Amino acid sequence: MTGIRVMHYMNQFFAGIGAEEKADAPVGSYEGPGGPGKRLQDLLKDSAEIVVTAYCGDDYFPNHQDEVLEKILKIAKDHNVEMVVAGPAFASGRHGFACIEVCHSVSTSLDLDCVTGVSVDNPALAGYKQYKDRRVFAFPTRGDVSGMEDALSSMARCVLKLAAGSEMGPASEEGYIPRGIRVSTMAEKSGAERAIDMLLNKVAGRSLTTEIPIERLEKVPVAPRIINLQDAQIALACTAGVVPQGNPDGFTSGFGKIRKWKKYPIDRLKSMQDATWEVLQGGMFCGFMTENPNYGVPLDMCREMEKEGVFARVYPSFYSTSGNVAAVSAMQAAGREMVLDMKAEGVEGVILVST
Amino acid sequence: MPVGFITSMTVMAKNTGANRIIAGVKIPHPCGDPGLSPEADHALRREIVKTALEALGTDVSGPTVFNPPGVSVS
Repeated sequence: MTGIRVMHYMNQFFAGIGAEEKADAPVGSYEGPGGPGKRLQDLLKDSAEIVVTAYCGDDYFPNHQDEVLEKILKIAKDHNVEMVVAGPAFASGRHGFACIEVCHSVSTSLDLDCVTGVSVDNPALAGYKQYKDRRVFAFPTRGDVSGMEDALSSMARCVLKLAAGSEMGPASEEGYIPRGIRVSTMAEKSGAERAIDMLLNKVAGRSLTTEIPIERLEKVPVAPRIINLQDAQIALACTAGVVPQGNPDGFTSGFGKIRKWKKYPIDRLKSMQDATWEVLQGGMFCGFMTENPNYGVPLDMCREMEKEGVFARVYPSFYSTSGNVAAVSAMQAAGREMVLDMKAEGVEGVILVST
Repeated sequence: MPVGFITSMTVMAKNTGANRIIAGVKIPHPCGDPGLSPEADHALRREIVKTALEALGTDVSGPTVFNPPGVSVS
């Protein structure tokens, strides 16, 4: 067979290893296409050949990510692969995450084009949009395998275009999920003219297409108010990356897909200045808060109010995370975990400070 | 879980759906002002925390900004 050499990555299920009971399967591979790869090969005809199928268990992947990616890169190199296809993962968070990470790793380490497919609400897209890899194209799919044929078709179209040496155009034309990469082009009309055209359309009730879509986030349900504040246990939380001096838990400030959070004890402190802390916030001047962390964790004031009986008790630890340049999905996950912990600990209200 | 969210970025907090938002002073020091005397800074932090606790005890129907006295809103 002729055509460019392709590696197809999938999770254990689609690769034919087994279902959920095999989610712990380590990295493996076999020659040629498997599962949906066979249909994909049909669609690719002679222009591309799936020479190897690599897979990893949905649970094994996130728990051994570095090791897995190293092995997958080796499989790709050993087979002289020229392009990688991953998934399609549909709405599966674990499979989607693995596909996006494999594509990111391959495109940055081996400088190869990668094509994948995920549903538009797959949480793995947060990573895809953060990475902004120019050579990774994720196509939107339906939520489940009923969308397999459509997914494979759009992914195959992209593989064929790239295999022929063509460049992929803008997301709106080619149909892939935008990475958020801004590419300069020449417009026929100036920005002022386009803005007035848009305004006139809007005023006349005609349709218009925004040039800058604003992402709308989920509506957060309103939590009921605290009825008896004087009986309440209040917890302090801070996203400025306030950590004990020496940063013993290795918090980072900056791009990161998995966001840590931790509780640090404050029960013996009357003020944050009774201990020494660092502030890991790469986007601001940290001097004020390092010198006086009460600016981020207002413990000194909470202790006074606790003594005055405004509320019953300051929870003995404060919840710390570093929100700087964090993926929204990572912070949402961290927030949900924190609240579960707070509820288990009898916290009734939170004072959260962000920078 | 009711959360009193102190931040100087109140518009962003509203847009991202936080329901009880308390205007903080500035990004590097939301709960006070190092430019004031220690006493005034302390008093300002009291107003901010007091407002946050009041917000926790208040019914709201959606994103609502509470402005502590002494925190200027631009």
